[in-house]
Amino acid sequence: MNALKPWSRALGIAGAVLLGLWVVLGAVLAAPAWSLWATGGPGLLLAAGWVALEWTLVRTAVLSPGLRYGSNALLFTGAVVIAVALVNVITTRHSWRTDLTSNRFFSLSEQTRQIVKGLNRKVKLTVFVGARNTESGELRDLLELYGHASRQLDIEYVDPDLKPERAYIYKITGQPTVVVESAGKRKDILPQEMFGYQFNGQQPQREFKGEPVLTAAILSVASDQQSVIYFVEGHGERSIMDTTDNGIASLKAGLERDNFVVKTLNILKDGKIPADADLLIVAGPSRAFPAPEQKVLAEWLAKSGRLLVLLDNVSPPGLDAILKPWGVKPLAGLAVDPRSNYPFAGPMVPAPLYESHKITADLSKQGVAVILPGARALELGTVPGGTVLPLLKTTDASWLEADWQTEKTPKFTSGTDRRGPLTLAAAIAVAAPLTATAAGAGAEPASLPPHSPKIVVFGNTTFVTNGLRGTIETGFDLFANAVNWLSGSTESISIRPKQRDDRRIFLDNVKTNIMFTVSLIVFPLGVILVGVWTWWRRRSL
Amino acid sequence: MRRLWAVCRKELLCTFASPVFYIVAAVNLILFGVFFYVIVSASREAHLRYVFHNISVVLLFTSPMLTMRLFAEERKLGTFELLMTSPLTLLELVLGKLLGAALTFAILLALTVDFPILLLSFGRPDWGPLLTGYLGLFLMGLAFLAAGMFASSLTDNQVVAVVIGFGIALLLFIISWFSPQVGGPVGDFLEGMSISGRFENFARGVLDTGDVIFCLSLTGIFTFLTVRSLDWRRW
Repeated sequence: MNALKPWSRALGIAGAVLLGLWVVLGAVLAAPAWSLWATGGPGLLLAAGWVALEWTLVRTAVLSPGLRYGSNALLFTGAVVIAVALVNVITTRHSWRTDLTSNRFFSLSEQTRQIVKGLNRKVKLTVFVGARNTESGELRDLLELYGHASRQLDIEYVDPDLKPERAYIYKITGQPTVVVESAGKRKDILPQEMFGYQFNGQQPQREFKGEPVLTAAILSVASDQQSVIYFVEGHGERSIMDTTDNGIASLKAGLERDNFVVKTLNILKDGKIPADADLLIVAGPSRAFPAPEQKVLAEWLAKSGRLLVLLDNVSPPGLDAILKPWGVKPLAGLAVDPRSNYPFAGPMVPAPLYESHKITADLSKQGVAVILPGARALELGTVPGGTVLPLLKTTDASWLEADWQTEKTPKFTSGTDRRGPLTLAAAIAVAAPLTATAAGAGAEPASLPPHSPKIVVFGNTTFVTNGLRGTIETGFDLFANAVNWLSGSTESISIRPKQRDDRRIFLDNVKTNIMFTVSLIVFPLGVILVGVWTWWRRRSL
Repeated sequence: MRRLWAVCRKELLCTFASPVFYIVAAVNLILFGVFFYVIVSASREAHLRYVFHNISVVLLFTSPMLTMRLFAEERKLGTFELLMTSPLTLLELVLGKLLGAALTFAILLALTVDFPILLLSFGRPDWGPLLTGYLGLFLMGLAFLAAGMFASSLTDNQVVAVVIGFGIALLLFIISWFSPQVGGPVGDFLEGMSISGRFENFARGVLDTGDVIFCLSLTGIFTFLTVRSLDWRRW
């Protein structure tokens, strides 16, 4: 210790400088964590070393009459309080936290954390919510997590009752509304987008969908470019404007929420595919694709096209021809799987198994099932210079029911029905693809295109119709993953709304009485008895 | 350390010899029991998040009652001068008394052990939030006890000490209410100063070093202010 004594002044100065830097970095600048550790840790050690070496000096100074009783005493007290407050500001801004709930309910998903950490510009979230709004608790909890995850997020609460002029300027119509803004782009998140109901059986359960919509909105305003998706029309496809159970309006809303621009396209009318099209979606066509349309589509696809096809019960003429060169042949009939299906609907609604692919990886990891009511099977071939991979497969107990329109209860008929496992969805990626004419004619590939075409085919459309929204939503996640894979988006949004752990307890009269007796009588009475006994004992002393 | 423990032991003996503790403890346990019974039987869920919230409000009243006599009584009984002339340092005296009050409070909290046991026998509670909830209650109570001790060091009237201690604790509890009106950085500061906001994290099962350091800092500041106050009054 004495050997270090000559160095005490140097240690003290170095410690003070490092602690000063720590304060500036932590309280003023948005410094990375390592710099705080690098300045705070050694600074504290050096300062502690100085105090230990100069203990007599420190003790004399602190206990000096000047600091204890004079006018300096107030200053000293104030300085200590300010120093502690400053330490708190820094430790709060750069704290370490862990969520100890079993399902990590108060943590952001890994996807959200990656997205908000990767933000390279400020995103402002203005939350319009009144103090008396009963629905805002979960939203506030969630926003606190966002604020903690990134210093690029600037969160402000505005009470529309106290500051109606702000609500008027922002044109706020409901509470709570979150306005997400960055670099002149704005996205509003309305209450109905965040709060909804999940129908499990007969009992509707309130559901908070804050994280998926907030993350999507942040991504949307922070991203510089948006992919454009065209839904092909003119062949009896499901409509993105149709809000009935058979329509796919909710699919459009979901894609827009995921930062895509959604438009419609009639190839026959326009005669070409727009230059800004990043992806075409053909959702359940029922009428034929005329030859000129097939040609336009095949040419575009062979160049660098990205196509997503959702099949309905029967393929219209022309569609099979478009898919054929890409190694996919839709089979006639519907898949029946008595082993893995949706138990409330039966074997005609298979719940297929996930095959290994980037599109299915998240859902497979989460262990959530997807259902495809009345699905068709695909026969997969090969495509030169590319891969044709299955995404979903039924179990080996399944079969392809050829007589599904006449048979009331499906049963396997040898000769007409085909044994499973059946492929219900496939993804095609081509690195050395087809020429336009070759693709259209189904011939062998000849030349290399500038970009690689990608195609995803689902043997079903129903799994993404409005009717299934609110019942089994995994299909929408699978669809979103497929769209992200096709459009080359690195951010795959499949964040599920957090579900509360089911920790309900069944309380009958006996249990309620036990609760009442133990918590309200036994323990308080026990304390009173001990008190009386103590009093009695002391009285007799 | 030995002298600090001696002060603490003396405090505990005084506390448990006095009927005040048993009355305060029994009333508190009845209140806690009412919260537990009403909330759990209504929600039918195996967690104590909202029970903890209600208990945290009761602590505003309970903490100053546990600390009111720490210095005010010494002055009233005339033993304060004895303490001041004893070989104890002020810090040992203050920390010893705070430790005594903290142990008393810990015993009071431990007497609610029936809540998690009942939840465990009827359902499947999530242990993480239960543990952080109790930790949060203890740390928040510790800060309130330090504030109450500071209040007790200011006066020789125990009722005045309770009123001041309650006032400080209440201010720390509700300070964030002014945040929306003020807004801006001052509003954020008031939000950060709110102990009820910090407790929210503990109650829901989130352990944050910022919250732990905040509660310990408040305890430290009020302990320091108590030492200063006693030092000032000594002369």
